[in-house]
Order: sequence, then C-alpha cells, then structure tokens
Amino acid sequence: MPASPDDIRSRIVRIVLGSAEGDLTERDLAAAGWSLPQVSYSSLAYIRMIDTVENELGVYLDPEEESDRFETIDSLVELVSQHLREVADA
Amino acid sequence: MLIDVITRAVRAHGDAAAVADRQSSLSYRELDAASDRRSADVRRLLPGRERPRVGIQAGNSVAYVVTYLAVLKAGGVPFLVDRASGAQETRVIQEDCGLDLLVHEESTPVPEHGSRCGVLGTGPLHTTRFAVRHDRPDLHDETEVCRFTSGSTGRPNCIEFRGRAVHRAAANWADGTGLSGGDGILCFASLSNGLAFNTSLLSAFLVGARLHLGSGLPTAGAVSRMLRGSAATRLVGFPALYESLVRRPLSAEALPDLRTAISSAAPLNPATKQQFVDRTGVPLQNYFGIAEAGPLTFARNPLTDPGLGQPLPGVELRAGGDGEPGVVEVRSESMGTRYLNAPGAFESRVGADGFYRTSDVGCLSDGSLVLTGRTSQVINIGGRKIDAVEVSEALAGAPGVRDAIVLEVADRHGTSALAAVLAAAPDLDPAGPRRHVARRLAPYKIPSLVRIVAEIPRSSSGKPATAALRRMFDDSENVQ
Repeated sequence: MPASPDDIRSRIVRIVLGSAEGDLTERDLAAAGWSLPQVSYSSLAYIRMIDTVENELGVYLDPEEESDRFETIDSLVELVSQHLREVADA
Repeated sequence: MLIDVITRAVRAHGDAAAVADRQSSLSYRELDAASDRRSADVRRLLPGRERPRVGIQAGNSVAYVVTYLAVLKAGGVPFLVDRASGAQETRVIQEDCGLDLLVHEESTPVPEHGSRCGVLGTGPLHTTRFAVRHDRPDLHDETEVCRFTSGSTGRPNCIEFRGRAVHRAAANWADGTGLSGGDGILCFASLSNGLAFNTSLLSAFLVGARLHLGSGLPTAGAVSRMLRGSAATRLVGFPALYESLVRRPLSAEALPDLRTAISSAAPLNPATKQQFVDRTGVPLQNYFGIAEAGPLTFARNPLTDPGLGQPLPGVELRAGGDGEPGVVEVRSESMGTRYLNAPGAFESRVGADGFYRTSDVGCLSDGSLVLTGRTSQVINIGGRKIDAVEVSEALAGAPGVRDAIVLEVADRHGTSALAAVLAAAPDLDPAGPRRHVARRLAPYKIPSLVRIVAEIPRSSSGKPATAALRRMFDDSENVQ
C-alpha cells in the first residue's frame, strides 16, 4: 500500500532530526516554521539527510537542481512525494 | 607570467575536451577563445585600472574557469573568494584587499557600497565594481593570484602567490601523481579551495586532461551519477563526500572508469577509507597540503602507506621521527609569498633556511608523513577551516549574549561539529544568536551545538576551561 502523506511527513521529520548534529528537536523545527535554514541546518546534516531519504525511500534528490526544495519540511515532503509517484508510474 | 604558461598549455590541446559542468562544456580551443572574449569584458569594466584586483566568488562552473583565465589575460590578479562567504565577510575582504571588481552569482550577497554592473559578457556571472582605494595595501611585484585562508584574528588572511608558485604546484602535482592527458577529473571541492585549485585546475590543463566540475552538496547520489556520466578517472572531494558514498550502496561495477580518489583538507576517518576501498577497489588518497605551501605529499602505494604519503616533487618536509613527533616544516616550490592583509604574519613562520613552520605535528615513518596533532586551535569542520575568534565575536554581539566561546567537538555521528558555549540568561533561545551569526558570516560558521551557561568556566589565569567546556557536549547520544 502506498505511503500516505502523513506517513511520508513523519518519516521526513524523523530523518531530518536524526541527521542533525544533535540539538535539533521537533519543537525547534515547528517554532522555526518547519524551515531548515531557520534552524541553521548544516551542510553535513543535509548530506546525511539526503543519503537517508535515498536509502529508505528509494528516490534520488538532486542537490544542485532541487536544493530550493530542501528548505522546508513541507517542500521536502512535496518533492519526495512527487518522486515516489514518478517511481510508481515508471 | 602564469597566463603565458596556461595559454601555451591550452593551445597545445586544441579540440580535446577541457572543462565541463552539468550544463555546458568547452574544448581547449573554445576555452581559449571564451577567455579572450571575457578578458575584453573585464578590461571594459575597469578602464585605466592598473593590475586590477578581481574577486571571483562563485560555485564551480565552466564560467568560473573562463573568468579566472580572463582576469589573468586582462592583466589582473584573481582573488578566489569562498562562495559561501556572507556579505560582511566579503566586505571585509574587499576593504582589506582593495578589490576593484567582484565577479559573483546573481544571488551572492555583495557589499552594499559596490556598484552592480550587470552580467560579465554573456553571463551567467554578475559583476560589482568598487571605487578605487588609494590606501589599499600594495601587492607584491610578482603576485599573480591570491587565495584566502582562515586567520586566527577574526579576518581571513589573503595569501599572495607568484605565478611560478601556482605553476609549480600544478606541475609537481601532475608529475608526482601520474596525471595524464587520458585522465578525466571530477572535482567536487570548490575551486577557491586548495584541494581543487592545486589538484584539478591548472594541473588538468597542463597535461590536457578533462576537468568535470561538480557543484552543490556532494551527496553519493549526485557524485555517482556524475562519475558515470563523465567517465572520470579521478575523483576529488572533501571527506564528507566519501562518508556519503559509503553510506549508500556502492560497488566497483558502478564506477568502471574510476582509478583514483583524492581527499584532503580534513582528517579522513580510517573506517571510511577502508570501506570505500573494500567496496570499490579504488585507492583513496588522503594527501597533505596547506593553503600557504600547496600540495605536499602523495602516497606511492596508498593501500599500504602508513600516513599521507611521500613528498611531491619540489617539496621538502621536516618532522619528528617514529615515536617522537615534531612540528611539520615544509619548503616547497609552490609556497605563497606573504599575506597581503597581515604584514609580517606569514614571514614570521618562515625560518632562515626557507622552511615554513606549519601548525601540524607529526613524524616521517618510512618516508611517509604521519600527522599526530596540531599546534593551533584552528577549527576544521568537514574541510572548512573556521577562526574561533571570528565566530565568538559575532556570537558575543548577539542580543542577550554576554560572552561566547567556540570550539570543535564530536557530534553524535562521530563527526566534527562547531559548538558554542554562551554566557546568557537560561531562557535565551539559541536560535537568536544563530540568526545573528547567519546575518554576518557564512552558513558553515553557525554553531550546530549550543549550550547556555551563567558564566564561561575559566582557569585562574582567565583562559577558557576547555576540558570543562567540552564535557558540556558529552551528553549527545552517539548514533554510530
């Protein structure tokens, strides 16, 4: 059964928090409007996050062409969902 | 002149592929012609300015390489500025070094006192021009290229290089590592960084190799796609690139053309190196180089070498012996001349015999350099050197912060992370000081880990109690 949008969102949030250096909490993210730049998400954390998304969800995130869609949890969920649909349709 | 060396090399390779990014590519002949046209654009923007100082602040691209050559052809001195620098950092560099022009991306936060002059030539890079400053420091007569290194005083140091030093760095690297015209180099390090500048830019052109430029985050997915698409034989990147590659499924079959992988600028986790070699069969070279003296070592047998390899041609090294480490000293043909904006600081590290005293401690084991420590507290996060003083000062200027100390600690992934201890009220939200730094400095200078205390613990002499500060970060769960 395909993952629901809520499932994808909760997985993305878990991956984003797990890839951070250590201090980041879901409350911090919510307080920052779910914006990764607003919580000073580091480039090393972004790399870990993208690797984990690719490993767990089987989609490719292009860090050069799609980086503007890595900025918020909402845009990330939308991007990953779009790629999952493309994989399912292929 | 450096440009004569480059022009001869470029013209020797004619229609062979020279440089490519994801959007475009140029043969050597096309690179020569494009840089000729762009040099005329540079001269038009700076009429009457002698030996103009041109900052280049951009990500890796064909346009970057064309601009670099064009500035040299225009009789100018390129200053290679970190793309990630914030507006305040770029302003400090522009004022310290008296830049006449900054070539940058459209989105680059440029100093407000500059005049935007539109795109350079047909683009895509943009330009901002600055008024002539008559009190700027004089360049050394023989300086042809300037690059930057993190200082320890709150400002980056601008290293002046003779053309011969830049040429010898590239030629000795090509010679010492066996680079040939049949090679293709995929470089994900920024061209403003020594890792890329010395291993990939001029060295490729001297031998007629192909240079493929990666930009953006070096994730395993992006790197392996570019490796397959470019058929590159060499991969150049910071340790984070290799850590990413071993996090993802990776096999030798996926990288059929790759022969050598090169890392530097920060310690490479031995486990990462071993996993990469085990899974790909490709040797991973972790060479030693410093900004002031160029690339210095390369392992003749990387699979068995105990350290960072033997001195490259044109390099002499001194260090301690086995079991008795000493300060690493180097004399190289690729040595810088001095710091433009810190008179005497570079020279104070060079002895009467011409050896430069580095901040590294190590020994020579069977001729291979093994590093064991450092004499300074320069912070190194993923290959980016960070001046703790600069970040501490920025944090201490944030509302509600009385004092700040910045240090490097291991995060819960076992990776070096930038940490800060702030003296402030217990209810201070760390997001405030982080935003304060973000408005002033490059994103990689924003501390990932922050602790709030009533007072910074200090010794009786007033120095920060480093051990106590580090213990504040011991509570992070280790996830590796």
